[in-house]
Amino acid sequence: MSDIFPWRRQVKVPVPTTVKTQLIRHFSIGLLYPLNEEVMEYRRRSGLNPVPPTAHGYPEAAADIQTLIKAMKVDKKIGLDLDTMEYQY
Amino acid sequence: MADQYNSTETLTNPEKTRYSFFLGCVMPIKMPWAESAIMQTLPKFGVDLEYLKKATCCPRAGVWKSVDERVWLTLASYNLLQAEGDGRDVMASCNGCYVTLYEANKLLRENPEKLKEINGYLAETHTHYNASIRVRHLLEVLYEEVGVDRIKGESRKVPIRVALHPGCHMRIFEDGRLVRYFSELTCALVDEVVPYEDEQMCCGLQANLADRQFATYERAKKKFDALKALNIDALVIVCSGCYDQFERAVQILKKEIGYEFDLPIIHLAELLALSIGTSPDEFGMRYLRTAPVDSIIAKWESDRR
Repeated sequence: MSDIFPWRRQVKVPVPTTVKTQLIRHFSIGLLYPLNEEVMEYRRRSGLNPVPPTAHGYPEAAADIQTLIKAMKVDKKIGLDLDTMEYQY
Repeated sequence: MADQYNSTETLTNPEKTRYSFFLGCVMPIKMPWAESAIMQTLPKFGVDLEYLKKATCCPRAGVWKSVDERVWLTLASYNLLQAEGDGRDVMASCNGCYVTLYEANKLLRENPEKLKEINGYLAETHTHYNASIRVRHLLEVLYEEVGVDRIKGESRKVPIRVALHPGCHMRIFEDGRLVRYFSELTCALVDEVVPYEDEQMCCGLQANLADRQFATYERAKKKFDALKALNIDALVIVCSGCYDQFERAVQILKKEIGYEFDLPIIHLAELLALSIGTSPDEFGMRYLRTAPVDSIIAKWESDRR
């Protein structure tokens, strides 16, 4: 195709602004909401372990998510540098 | 494994009731009262329940199907394989997480080539998914495995009037059974469930990604207006995604126009916990609420004296 249309370039559509922050959190901690001291205290008072047994308690899960995203080359597709967590477009 | 399933995922082996509870993003951070009520109450009804460990975002199928379907299937599989490794089925309370995981699981079970492709990506993390488990909603577990009759027999109604917010994704099945389960279970646990015109209206969560103003004022607020006119004690939900949107809308509306939505938003599992005599303080009912639940607790305490 590039031989026939040598000037054609792939259109890079940026991820919607409202989704960008969510994706950074998803790929950084594996989940959309971070855990903080206040939530940990309320979890204690609710009879729960302060750190939920999600990726919050297993940081290797977030690392696995980044590995999977890189394997699918989705980071390139959405223009997100997973090392700096900055969007290129 | 395929013969263990039928087309609607109805339980065909009633003895197998071992579940990994998928928490998702919202419940462990914003709804510890719901998480605690579920984890404390279901085992008392004979449900073998453990946490699904290492859970990550389900992820949002509504977003990823349109961007890249592989992400939806691979990240959903990453969650599902944690339960599969423990020899358990998955249980979800959030309608959104349920639909994401249920549909991914169904697609992968029916499409071996796709499953093979997804396992190619999972291999990068030294994991593998066989698609050998089921994904079940909390409502299915309560209604089909515990049963309304048993719940009625072992509980005492909480003396309050409530309205329901099922949420869009609860209507995943054409026969509408999840909505029926939600309604029948709640009716078994409270004095009165009050119907209202906007019961089926969306919370606005999906719209929030595109237009926060519309999601807040044309969806959540319209729902809140209708609910405030009912003179009820609480709005009952099971979906963490809907709760997330309602919580956000309550804050935005208060900040922008001084709008007060003082009706407590509670989870079905809290009613279940109260109905079998679990103290509100045992599952943290008073904390992290959009509105105080003191009046509900007072009515419950008065009835228990």
